[in-house]
Amino acid sequence: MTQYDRWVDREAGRVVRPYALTGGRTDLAGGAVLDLISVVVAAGPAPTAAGSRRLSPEHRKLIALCQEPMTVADAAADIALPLGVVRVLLADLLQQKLITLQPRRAMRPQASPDLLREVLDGLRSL
Amino acid sequence: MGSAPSDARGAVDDSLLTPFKILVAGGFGVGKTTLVGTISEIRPLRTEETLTQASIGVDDLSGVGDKTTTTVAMDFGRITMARRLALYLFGTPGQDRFWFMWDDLAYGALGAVVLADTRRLIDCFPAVDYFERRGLPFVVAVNVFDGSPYYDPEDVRIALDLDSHVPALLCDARDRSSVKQVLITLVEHVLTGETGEVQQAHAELSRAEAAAEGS
Repeated sequence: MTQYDRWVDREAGRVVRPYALTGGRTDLAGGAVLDLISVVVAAGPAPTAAGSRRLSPEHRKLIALCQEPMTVADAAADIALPLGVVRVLLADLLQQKLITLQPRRAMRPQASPDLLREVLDGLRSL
Repeated sequence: MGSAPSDARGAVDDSLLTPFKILVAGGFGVGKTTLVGTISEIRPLRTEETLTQASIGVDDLSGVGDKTTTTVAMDFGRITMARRLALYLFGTPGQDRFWFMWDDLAYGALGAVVLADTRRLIDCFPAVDYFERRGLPFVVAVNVFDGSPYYDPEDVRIALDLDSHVPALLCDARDRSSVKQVLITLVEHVLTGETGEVQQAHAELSRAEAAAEGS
């Protein structure tokens, strides 16, 4: 334990305040709409630190996470940052075309009886 | 499976992840996280939301007071099914002061489970009220706690003044098959509601057509 660890524990909260990770921004770049279960996927492999000066380590971490299609909620839980921050960061990546937003199949799931029946079958076979 | 994007009938393209969202609402300490954990294939994950969307940066920047750093924890679980269908269960924040988050949570949701405790039935009024106003299908699941008086789900329905079509059932949030039954009831309820509406729409359409022909 270094002398700093004594002060930087869970109780102390984050060392870097969430707003710092977004440069104080709260709006989503390009007016992106990112719901909790919006699915994002990386357009390519995570760039190295040297090759991506404009990207923060958190941006790069998100690209690494989204190599497989992933929901916004899962990404936020994995990277352990508040949802609002993750949304801003993901919107940056969307705007830079480093990730893409998967088209939503069931914006209004109530109106997709075929999908609902599949969900029902899935639940019954649990 | 090469289904065209315009195929609105819901045939699932296996290459896409198709997530659904179910909200689990109810009063503080009624067992929402327990219910989510019982059925989820993963340990309930936790995500946080800062006090308000707009407060990120603005409030935090000032760096004073406890309120500015308040976060709302949201626990969620996941059930992955065949063909990349995934059901996400989100526990809604129990306290009243987090109401602002509900619209965001309810957006595009499949439906909701209102978890009730018969000892504090009043705690679930706000959730029932919210889903009714929003028109989001929901079921009421009465979590049976040890030592809580037994109530017939029908009595609970009357006490909550629920519409006759809203399912009310008993459950044990710790029991997997019980929670599974709650979710099945919800999806069935959503399906009947939808087909009911569709049939009604069709009936109206044919009536309109008949009237047009008759004129």
